Amino acid sequence: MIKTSPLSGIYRNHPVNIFEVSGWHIAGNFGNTEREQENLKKSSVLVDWSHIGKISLSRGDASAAAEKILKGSSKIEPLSSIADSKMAILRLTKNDYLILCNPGMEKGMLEKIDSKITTVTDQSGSNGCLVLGGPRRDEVLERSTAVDLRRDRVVAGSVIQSSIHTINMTLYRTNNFDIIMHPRNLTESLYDALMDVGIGVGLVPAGIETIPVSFEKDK
Amino acid sequence: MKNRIDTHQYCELPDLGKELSFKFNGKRIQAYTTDTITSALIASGRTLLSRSFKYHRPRGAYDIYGQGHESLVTANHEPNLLADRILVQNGMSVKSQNAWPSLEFDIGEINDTIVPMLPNGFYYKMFHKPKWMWPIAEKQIRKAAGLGRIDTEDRNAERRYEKRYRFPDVCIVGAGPSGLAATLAAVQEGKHVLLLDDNSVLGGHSIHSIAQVDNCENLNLNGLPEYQAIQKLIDELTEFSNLEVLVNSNVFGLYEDNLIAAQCGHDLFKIRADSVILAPGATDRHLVFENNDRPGIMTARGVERLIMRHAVLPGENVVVVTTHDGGFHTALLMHGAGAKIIAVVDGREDGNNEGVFEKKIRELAIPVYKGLTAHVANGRKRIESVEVGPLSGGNSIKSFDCDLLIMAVGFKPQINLLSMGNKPPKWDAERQILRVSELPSGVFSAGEVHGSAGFAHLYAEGFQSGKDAALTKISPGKVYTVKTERTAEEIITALPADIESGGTHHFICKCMDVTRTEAQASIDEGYDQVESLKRYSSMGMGPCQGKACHEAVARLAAQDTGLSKLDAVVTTVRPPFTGATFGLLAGRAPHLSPIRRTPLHHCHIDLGVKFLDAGQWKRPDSYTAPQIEAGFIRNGLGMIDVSTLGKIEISGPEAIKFLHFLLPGKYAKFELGRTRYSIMIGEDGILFEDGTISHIENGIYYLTTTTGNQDAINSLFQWWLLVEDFDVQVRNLSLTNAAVNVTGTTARDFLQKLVDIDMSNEDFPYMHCRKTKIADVPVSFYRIGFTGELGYEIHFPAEYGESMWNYLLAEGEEFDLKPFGVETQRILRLEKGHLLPGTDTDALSSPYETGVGFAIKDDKDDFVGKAFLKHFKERGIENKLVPYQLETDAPIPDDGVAVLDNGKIAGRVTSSRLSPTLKRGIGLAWVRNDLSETGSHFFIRLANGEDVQATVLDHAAYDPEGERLKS
Repeated sequence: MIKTSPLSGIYRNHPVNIFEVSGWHIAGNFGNTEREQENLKKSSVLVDWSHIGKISLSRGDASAAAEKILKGSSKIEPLSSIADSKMAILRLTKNDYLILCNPGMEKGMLEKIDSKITTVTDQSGSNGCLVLGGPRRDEVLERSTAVDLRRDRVVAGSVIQSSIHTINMTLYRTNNFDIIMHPRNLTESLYDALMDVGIGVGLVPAGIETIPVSFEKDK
Repeated sequence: MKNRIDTHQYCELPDLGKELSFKFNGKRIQAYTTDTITSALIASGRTLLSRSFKYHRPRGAYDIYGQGHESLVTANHEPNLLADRILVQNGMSVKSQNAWPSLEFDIGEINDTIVPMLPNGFYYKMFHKPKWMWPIAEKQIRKAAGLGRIDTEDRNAERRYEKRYRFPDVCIVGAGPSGLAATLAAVQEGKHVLLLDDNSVLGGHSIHSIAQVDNCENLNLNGLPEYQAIQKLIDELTEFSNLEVLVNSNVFGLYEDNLIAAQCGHDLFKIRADSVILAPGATDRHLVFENNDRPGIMTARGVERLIMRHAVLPGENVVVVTTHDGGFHTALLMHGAGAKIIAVVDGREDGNNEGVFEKKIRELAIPVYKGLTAHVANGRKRIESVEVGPLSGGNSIKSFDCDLLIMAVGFKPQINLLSMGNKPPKWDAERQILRVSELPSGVFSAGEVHGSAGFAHLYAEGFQSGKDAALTKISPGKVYTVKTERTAEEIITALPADIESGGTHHFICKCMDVTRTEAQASIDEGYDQVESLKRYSSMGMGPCQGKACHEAVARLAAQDTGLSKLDAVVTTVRPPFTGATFGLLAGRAPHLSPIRRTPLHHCHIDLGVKFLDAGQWKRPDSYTAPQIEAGFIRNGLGMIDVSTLGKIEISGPEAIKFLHFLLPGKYAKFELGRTRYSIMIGEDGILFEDGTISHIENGIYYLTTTTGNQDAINSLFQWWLLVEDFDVQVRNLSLTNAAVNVTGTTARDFLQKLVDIDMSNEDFPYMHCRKTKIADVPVSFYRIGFTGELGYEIHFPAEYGESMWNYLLAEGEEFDLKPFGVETQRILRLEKGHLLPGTDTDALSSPYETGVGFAIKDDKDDFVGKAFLKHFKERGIENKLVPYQLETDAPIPDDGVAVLDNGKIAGRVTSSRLSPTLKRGIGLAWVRNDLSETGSHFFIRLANGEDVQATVLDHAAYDPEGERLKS
């Protein structure tokens, strides 16, 4: 059985080329990879990464559990992150973590985590994930949230928990794109709202060919 | 373009851009891309721009800055736009407002004769008796005294209103010499600076000044004329990447914690700055004298703007009325552009105050008259002559023919934003202006808003404020005193607020057509406090919101209500400082109410669903008709999306203890694989939720909640986990899992073929749960009976939602599996007598009276709500929720209608439907306890006033023994 992106309804309205990644059907491109990559260079793109692994650790000894997954996780401050090419561990509060990882890695990761010391929830299916890339992405964000996302204040690697278009979200910032996690049932609304305000600054939907999954903050 | 000039004796003229054309009242007007609507109209030879609000007097361009009502037009269907600010676009359609049948011949002008004959504030007093007259009169008064009209045909026009956010270290309002110097200081300190200006170009008044810059601390600027110096300063700023500039941005509000609201086009900027510098400058003072509203009377800076920015000469025979050297500067610019200066009338007496430009004017042998000012303007659609006389009024002593009267009688600081920092403006007798000299910590100010001064002085003041804003530590709650100084030479003495030269057309407030005579009559009627005087006469309450007239209003109100002539009484200054449309404030509404979609949403669309709004959720209401769909389940097999249910997993060593505390049931003997009906009650003992709880894995419990309560219950659980030290793990799986309910007589047969567990009634009985797989996807089954038929709730990972739904539909084809919606489910549950918390209960519903007391085990230790439940139990049953049925063919009542007994209200219906199975009306109703016995009768009042009789049922209209769901 296929795992479906929460943007499946949007895919129906575009000439999307679907890629199958770890059992997910996800947009590889929206019909024209070249145009999407051009937009990534010159304006802005919105990419569906809903298929990435998302695991939350909360209460108990969440930092010890996170440390086992990636060394140094227990040392980072709340609202910051640690990452390698395959995963990013976001520390949301003193005792809450969110692990983002390459699609398909979550099963092995769940086996590694001792669920007796912390509450572990696989949120891969319950959370949507959209990625904003391109030099004009700040112009989309400034029309979308009242949160201060100035780049010298919210630097690469930072984590913000707030709202975009009234939708609760967790934002993880890298140098070249912003990753927005949010409840799956609101993904299509969030996509519509971002595209609506982004239309004036050249925002186009793009696929994972344009921004492949990668978590390092320097990406 | 009649009034366009191509050379000037004393300055370079600007590049006007490309030629274009637009329409004004249907007539084609030639213009350039740098033109505003006003400059283009004046260039084309037009003087008349609009009609006044009440008297429909002819009005022309005044300050070319958009502070008055004169320039209000409808452009491209959008009303009440300021022609002074709007840049022309090729093909644009512009219309004047408040004139009929035409701007040139306006029948409403008769008001100028009639209205003064009516009693003061006549619309408060007349046409109220007989009563029927007022609606007719009001309509006509509003029609005659209107602004622009909303174009209803334009309602579907694509107009985007965005809300945008900025978070600078320093936000500077005003890009004149002070604002730009402040910007330079702040960016040099490495701060992120946002500079806002309401003009389309930076520089403030200096871009229209040919005065030479001397003694400026920025040595690069000395020796240059101001318009070149300011451009050099602007060029200096362009190298800083930490500076953002927003032009054409009207700052209309300053709120707590340095929140600034600014309009830029159709975008509303909400700016939260660490520090704010207000350098809004000053505009020419409004002088009150007879016929001071005539077209052809313009402010000095307005005229300078027309010449130096638009290369437009607004008049040929010019009289300048002034009280400072700036008036002579304007006269010189007009002279250099080719106008004839008939006279310069200077309110100052002869003495040692001759400035640079006065000397030049005298060298040109232009007549200068000292100690006089304007008394009366003559002419109607355009000024034809001006009479001048002593400052104290009385008789005029000279008259000059002219087509342009330039007013340069000092400056009124733009204090509005400063005053929004909460300190009211006060009359500064020394500087002869209204001033705000105290600001909250974090707000700084500099420039002409504290009195006029030379370029070098303004630069130094601005630069210091920029440094202060960048370096001063903000202390919330503290007050900052503005430290500015003005030399005696810089101070411009104010003329009397009204030149009392006779006549009855001394306009204090031109927006609202309020004259001095009218204001005095209002005071005579008892409105002798400034606030009440303003409200009664409405002066200062027009489109400009007092920007043009606030000083005149304050000074004359003080004078006429008996305070000192030297004093001024100011009314409270509030945002918005400039007009803001509702569209701008509202923004884009669709973003404020996002839609929640289940993982199966698009499968429902594929099946032609009709959606139901359940809070933010879109749920399937029905696919065909609910009455038909109910038959699928009673006689076959149906499937409904129940993914919106709340789903919470509880585990850990103290899971049972936690459940005992939060739920009123007992769980010590809760066997693995069992499912139970469960209710939740608040600490006040009120029933607010019901659902099921299942022991799904060893030590793991799975609770389902209603759609509406899923977030609230999860929050409640998390809250109790913070308060009480339970060793449990609570996982909210509401979005992690999708769910469907497969129900109907053949449900077992259908599902058995998909799973490898034994689905028989013996092995998997009613109110039990199982974990298994369907097509290799892990699923959990809960055998419950909300619809009254054999049924299984199937929960599975949300990401498989669409695949699973389509798979089940395909596999169920041989069993004629049909989708059904929420409305169908509501009918089915009502046939079974199941309640819906929130629909059939309210904030006063005791669980005992609701009929779910069986789920409460109050013989256990303390649990949430126990104390109040004891009280409810002792009080006994007063009202009861009962199922009922109607006679066959009786009409179906609406939800919520009254229950009657002997003609008196005895309760209310909570749910009412036609039962397709029983072919009669059924429902649930709260009734008095004495009416709740099975077989009792009561009446239900229909919407049409008729009553229908209802009979109380035991507990279900359909399958009362539950044989079908247990089968």
